[in-house]
Amino acid sequence: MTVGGMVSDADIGDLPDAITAVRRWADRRPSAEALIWVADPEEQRDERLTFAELDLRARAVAAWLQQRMPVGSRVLLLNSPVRFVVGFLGCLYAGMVAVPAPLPGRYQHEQRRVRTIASDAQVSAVLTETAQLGVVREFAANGPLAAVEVLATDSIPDSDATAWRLPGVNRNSLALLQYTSGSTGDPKGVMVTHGNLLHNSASLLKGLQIPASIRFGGWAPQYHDMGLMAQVLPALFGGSTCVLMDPTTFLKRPVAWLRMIDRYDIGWSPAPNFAYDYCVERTTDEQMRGLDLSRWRYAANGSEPVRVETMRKFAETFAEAGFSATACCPCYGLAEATVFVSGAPPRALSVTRFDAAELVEHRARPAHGAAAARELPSNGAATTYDLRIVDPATRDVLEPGQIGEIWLRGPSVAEGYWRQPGATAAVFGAVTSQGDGAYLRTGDLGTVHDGELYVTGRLKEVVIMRGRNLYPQDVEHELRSQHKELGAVGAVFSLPASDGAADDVLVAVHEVRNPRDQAGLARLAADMRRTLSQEFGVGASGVILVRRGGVRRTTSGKTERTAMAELVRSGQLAAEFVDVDPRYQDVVSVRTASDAPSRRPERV
Amino acid sequence: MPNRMHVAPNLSAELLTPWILAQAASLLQLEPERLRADRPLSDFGLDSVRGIALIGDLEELIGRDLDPDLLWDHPAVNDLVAVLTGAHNGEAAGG
Repeated sequence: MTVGGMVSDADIGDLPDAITAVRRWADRRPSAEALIWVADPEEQRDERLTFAELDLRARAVAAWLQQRMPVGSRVLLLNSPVRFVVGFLGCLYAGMVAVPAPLPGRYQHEQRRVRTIASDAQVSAVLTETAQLGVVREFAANGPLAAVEVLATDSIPDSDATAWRLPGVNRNSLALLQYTSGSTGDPKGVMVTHGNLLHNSASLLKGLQIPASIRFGGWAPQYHDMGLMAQVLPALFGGSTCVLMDPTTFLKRPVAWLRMIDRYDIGWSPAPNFAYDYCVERTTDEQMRGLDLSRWRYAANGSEPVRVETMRKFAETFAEAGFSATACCPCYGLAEATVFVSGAPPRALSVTRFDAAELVEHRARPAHGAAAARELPSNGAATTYDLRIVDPATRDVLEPGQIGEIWLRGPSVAEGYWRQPGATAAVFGAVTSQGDGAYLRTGDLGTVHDGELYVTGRLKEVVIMRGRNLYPQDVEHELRSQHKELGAVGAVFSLPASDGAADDVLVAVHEVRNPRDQAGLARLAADMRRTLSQEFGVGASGVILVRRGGVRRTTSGKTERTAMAELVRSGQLAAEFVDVDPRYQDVVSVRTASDAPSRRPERV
Repeated sequence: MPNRMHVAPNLSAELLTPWILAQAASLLQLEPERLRADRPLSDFGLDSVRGIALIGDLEELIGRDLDPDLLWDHPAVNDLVAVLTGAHNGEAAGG
């Protein structure tokens, strides 16, 4: 079917299972390139796999699994960040449930997390690649994986593929458990079915009007929902090519990502917001020469809050390399809805200036005149979902223009959390006050304005002071814009007051450029208090200034406000300067850096 | 946008130490004098992403691939320089 010169991909959503979605291309275009792994984009040093080769390898892995365990068994994938595909397809082809996880690094908490995932999912085998086999064997030797077989998928002979048998799976069969970030002790495995994968890829391709000829690619790790489900699978299900690069290559030299997009003709490449800032910050004029980004149609920005300034700055900087501002593509999504929820086809960046005072009152009204405003990007329309904006306390469905929690229903919404009936009922089984359900509670706050979705913050992170909603991102942004002495990252959050008072206690932690100037820091802290009071009408119980790197972020650059709150509460944060309201000394217990032990660098 | 320094790939500690300190200072937006070569760079606020960025800069300077974990094993500049110049006997820095 052809719509407006583009092949419609609606048919993906109607296929019987994800195996068929890939195998049909091995059948129709066996010699077309399915995957390209790029080591060096400049010299075009890479490794390629056609659909026929990929299908053969997946069948060989699947046959190995089928000989050892019943259909539906869980299989842990421990690969380097962009090497998951063969093992993942092997699981699908065998009717097993893939459990992608990051390679356990050297930090204890990373290793603990992977072990917790392995025992929660009750895995029957571990798949990896030869290059990581030693590390994975050593890791698996103790704990829940001690009795489990480990296989390097690239070591199986292709001839084993003949033993593969099509498993009895359908759209309702589980395809993977996507473990959400959660806390180390309590990871939750989102149960994603074959039907979810098919519907979500079809939604992405159709909703954003992605031409069938477009190539996908990027460096997003495939143990994250974005790297696998918003990058690899739409390419493979749609019969296109996915071009991959290790995230370390990107972090070392972000221009390597941009060169890959140019040299390999990639039209769709997704990344979290920080990656776009990082490119602007780290790309030299010399590197810019000869770079052609004019064929990059979709610079998808997702998986963390999208900043208007970031997208504008990126478009402005790389206009010189032919980048079109219409390629800036803010998307909303989450693992509990497979990955993709909403976005818009290429167009000028759609931004609304909302009245800041109204936002505080849970209303989204465009700002007029000189009123203080907050610019938010539109995330397009969620065309393949029933979307409701709901008051999280009363569960009343709210009118357009009001702000509430984003609730979703539709074929991309996953089945629930693996072996967690309580959490599943609470998150996936929400019912409105009018008795309408079941919806997925996203935990994100937002509004629908002119038919499009705007995300205003995370429900859990919103600071409620005297019944008003304060968004930490807003407060941090305002502090930075008024105080040039502040560094790039801050974390604003609330702590419960110890005496059981109704109101929480507001704390602002922020990085500073010049941590040595104690007199200057004291003045700065006092000025920040004044800003909080003038702009937001709140008094801070604590203003804490830290060195660069002192505010925790995830590897994808998200500020970890909850973790920072915990550090402050437990007295573990090392600060350069601390200004605490004497009334709250017991709640905000923070040391200055001189007493702190030195810290090793955080690993990615 | 930054202007990357270009130094001949002469791996002597006398050249490398100030070069790495200057590059780290630029990544941290600090004056180079604020950094010390005998303390972990993380003490001055270098996080994981910027640590890998520094390794990327070093690769361009010396013209070979380096292990992104190098700063994890050798967190102070003096230590890092010792490995890069081969003063740590037999320790492979390649990645």
